[in-house]
Amino acid sequence: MRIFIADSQPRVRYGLRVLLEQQPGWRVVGEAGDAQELLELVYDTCPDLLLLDYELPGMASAEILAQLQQTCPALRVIAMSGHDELRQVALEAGASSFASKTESPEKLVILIHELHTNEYN
Amino acid sequence: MKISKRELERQLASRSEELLAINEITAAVNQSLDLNEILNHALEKTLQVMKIDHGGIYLLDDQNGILKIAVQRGFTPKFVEEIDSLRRGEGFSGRVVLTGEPLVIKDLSQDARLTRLAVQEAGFRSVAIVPLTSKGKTLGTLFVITLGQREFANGEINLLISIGHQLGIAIDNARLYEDTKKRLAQLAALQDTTRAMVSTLELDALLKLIVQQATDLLQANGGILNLADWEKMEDEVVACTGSMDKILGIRMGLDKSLSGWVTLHKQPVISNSMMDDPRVAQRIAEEFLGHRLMKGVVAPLTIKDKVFGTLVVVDKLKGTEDFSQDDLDLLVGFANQAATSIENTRLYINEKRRADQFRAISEVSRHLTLIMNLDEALKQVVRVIQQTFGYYHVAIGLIEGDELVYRVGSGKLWDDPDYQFKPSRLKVGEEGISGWVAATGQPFLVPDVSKELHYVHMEGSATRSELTVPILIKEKVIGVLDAQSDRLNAFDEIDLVVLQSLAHQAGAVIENARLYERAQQLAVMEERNRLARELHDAVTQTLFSASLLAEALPASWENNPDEARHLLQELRGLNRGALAEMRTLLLELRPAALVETRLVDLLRQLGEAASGREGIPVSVMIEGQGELPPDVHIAIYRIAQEAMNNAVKHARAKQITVRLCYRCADVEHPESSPNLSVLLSISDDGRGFDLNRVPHDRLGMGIMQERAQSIGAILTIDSRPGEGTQVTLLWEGKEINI
Repeated sequence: MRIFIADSQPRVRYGLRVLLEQQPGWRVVGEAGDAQELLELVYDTCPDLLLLDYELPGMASAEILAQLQQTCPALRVIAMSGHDELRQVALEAGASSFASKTESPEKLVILIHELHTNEYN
Repeated sequence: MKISKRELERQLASRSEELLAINEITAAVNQSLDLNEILNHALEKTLQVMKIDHGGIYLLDDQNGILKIAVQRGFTPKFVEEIDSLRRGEGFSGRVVLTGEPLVIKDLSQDARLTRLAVQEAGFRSVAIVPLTSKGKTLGTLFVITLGQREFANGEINLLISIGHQLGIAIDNARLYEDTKKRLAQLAALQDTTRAMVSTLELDALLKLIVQQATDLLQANGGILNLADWEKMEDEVVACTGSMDKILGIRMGLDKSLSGWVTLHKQPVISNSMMDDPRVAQRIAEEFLGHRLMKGVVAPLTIKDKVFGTLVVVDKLKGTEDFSQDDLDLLVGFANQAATSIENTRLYINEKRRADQFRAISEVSRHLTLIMNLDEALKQVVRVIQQTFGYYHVAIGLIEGDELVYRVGSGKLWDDPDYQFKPSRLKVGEEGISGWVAATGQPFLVPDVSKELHYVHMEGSATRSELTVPILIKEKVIGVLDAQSDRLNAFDEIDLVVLQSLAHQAGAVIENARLYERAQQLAVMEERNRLARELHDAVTQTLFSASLLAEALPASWENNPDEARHLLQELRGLNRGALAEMRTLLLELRPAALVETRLVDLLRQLGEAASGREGIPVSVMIEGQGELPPDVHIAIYRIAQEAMNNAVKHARAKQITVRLCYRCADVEHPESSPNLSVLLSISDDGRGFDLNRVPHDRLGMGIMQERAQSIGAILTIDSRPGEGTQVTLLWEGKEINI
C-alpha cells in the first residue's frame, strides 16, 4: 500500500513514516508540509492512501478534499487532528475516516488495516 | 389752751423720737431686702417709741384672702395661734384691710365686733391698727395693743400710719424682689434649657431633654411630651421621664385625656385633684404606671397658633404640694420655648435629611462607578444608605427563581453575628412586604408594620416601619431595596422617591456588574480556548509524534538497532519539548509565576519547547545578569516568545539563536554605569522575507512593537528573502533593587 503523509510538523511526518513503514507491504511514497506541496506531489506519486492533517496550512481541508475528489477519485483519505470535534466535519467533507491525534497510534494502524481490508473485500 | 414749756419740751422730744424711729425704719426699708428682718425691726422700733409692750403685723395672702401673723412681740405662742388666720373683714384687722382706714379701740372689753375672745381673756384693753398700704392696695396691718386702757394721740396714729406706708412699700419691694429673683431663676433655667435645646438636633433626644427639664423646673416627679396627630384626632407620648417613664408610644384619642383636652382647647391647665378630674385618663395611668395620678399641669406646645402637642408635668417632689399658678406660668413659658426648639429641630432635620439624601445619592453613584464587583458594589450601596439615614436596617434582595434572596445588608440585624437574619429567602408574591414588592414591582411604604398583614416579623427585630422599593432592569423586577426603621412613621413620600432613585442606581449597577461578569466569563472562555489551541498546537502534536516513535520502537529494536537508537534520541527530545511546552502553558495559567521565574530560565524553556515541537535546534545564550522591573521582564519574555514562534512556524529555519545580554549596550563602562541595559536578539537562518512587502502588523510584529513601546524599548526587525531574520530589542533603564 502506498501512503502519502501531509502534516505541517516534520516530527509528526517522521514518526508516521517510521511507524507505517514497519508494517509489511506499506510504503510512504511522499510527504508534504502544506497544501501547495501536497497538491503538487500527490498526482505524481498517486498513492492509495492519504493521511491528511485536517489543519494543514495553505488551504481549507474541505477544499483540498474537493480538489482531490476531482483529480484522484480512487484516493482514500484519513483525516487526522488533535481536535476531535473536527471528525464530523471531515467525514462530511469526504474523508474516508478520521484519526484522533490524542489517541494511541496503534488505533491509526488498525484503522488503516480495516480500510485496506474493506477495500479488497 | 396754754401749753407749758415742759409739756412743749416733752412733745418735742417725743416728736423727735418719732422722727428718729421713722428715719430708722425708712433706712431699714431701703437697706434691706429681707422682708422678715424689716418687719421685725419696724415693729420693735414702733413699740419702743410708743412705749408699748405688745404688737404685731398681719400680712394678707392675696390668693386666699387670709391674714396671717408675720411678726409679733409680747404674745405667747398659744395666743398667737388664737389670733392667727383672720379672714378679710373678720375682727378689727380684717376690717382695716377691708376699709383701708386706721382703727383705734379704746376699750376692747366693751366691743362686740371682737371675734377672737382670747384677746379679752388675756386682758387687753386698747388697740390701734393701721393698714400697710402700697399703691392703694392693702397688704396687711400693723397693730399695737395694751393691757391697760390707753389713749392714742393723733401724732401717734399719724406715726403708725407713716410706718404702715413704709412697711407697705417694703413689703411691695420685697415681694417684687422675690418675684424678680424667681423670675431670674426661671429665666436662667429657661436659658439653660434653650441653650441645650438649640444644641440638640436629634429630635428624640430633644424631646426627652424638654420633658426632663420641664420636670426639673417645676420640681416634679415626672413628665411626658405628647405630639398630636390631627388626622386621627389622637396624641402620642413621644418622650417621658421620672414617674411617667413607662408610657412611651401610647396613643389616645384627644377626647380621652387631659392632654387631649389641652390640645383641643389650646389652654393650659392645672389639675390639683386629678383623681376627681373626669378629663384625666386614670385607667391608662393605672394600667401602665401602676399608680394613680394626683396633681398635674399641662401646657400646649404651639407653633403659629396651632397646637401640635402638650407638655405634661405631674406630682411635685414635695408630696402633697399643689401646683401653683406660678408653676403653670413657668411651664407655659417653657413650653413656648420648647415648641420653637422642636420646630427648629424639625426644620433642621428636614433640611439635613434632604441634604443627606442628595449626598447619599451622589455618594452611592460615586461608589458604584468605582466598583465592578457586584457583591462589593451592593454592600457599599446598603452601607451608604443605612449610615447616611441612620436607618435600623437596609438590605438588597435579588430574585432567584421564585425566591427573593437577601444578598447584602447593613445595620444591627445584619451585622450582629449572633443574629441570624431570618428569613433570608422569601417566596416572591407570597411572603413579606418585600416579597409583595418583588411580585408587583410597586413600592410599598408601611408606617406601622404591626398593622400590615404582609409583614413577616423577624425574631429579635425592632422594626416598626418599613419602606421597600423594587429594583428594575428594563422594566423587569430583579430585586428589592428594603429599608426598615425602629420608629413608627419613619418614612415619607420623599424618602420613597429618594430610595427609589437609589434602587434605580443599584439596578444600573447590577446590570453593569452582570454585563461585566459576563464579559469576564467570555474573556475567561476565550483564554481557555486559546490555551486549548496552544495545547493542541504544541503539546498534542509533540506527544503524538512521541507516541508514534514509541509505537515503532519495539519492532525497530528487533530489526534495526541503529535506527532504534536514533528513535530513542528523537523520543528524548520530544518528551523534553513536551515538558517545556507544558511549563510554558502553565505560566499562562498562572501569570504571577511569569514574574517570579528568572528571564534566563524562561528563555531556555521557550527554546526547548520550540525545538521539541518543530525539531529545530534553538540555542539560548545569556550574558551578564540583572534585575528588571516586572513590566520589562514580562515584555521581554513575550517578545522573545512571539519572535521564536514566528521563526519555528514560518521561517523554515534550521537553527534559531536567542541571545540575551545585560549591559551590552553600555560598552565603555559596562560595570560602573548605574543604569542597566538589556539586549535581546532572536535570529534564524530561515527563508526571511521582504520587509517592504510584509505589512508591519503581520506576523505578530504589530504586537511586538506595542510591547516594546510600552516599556520604552527599541525593537528592530532585520530580514531579507533567503537570508534569515533577526529581531533585536534594546531596553535601557534603572535596575531595581531588591
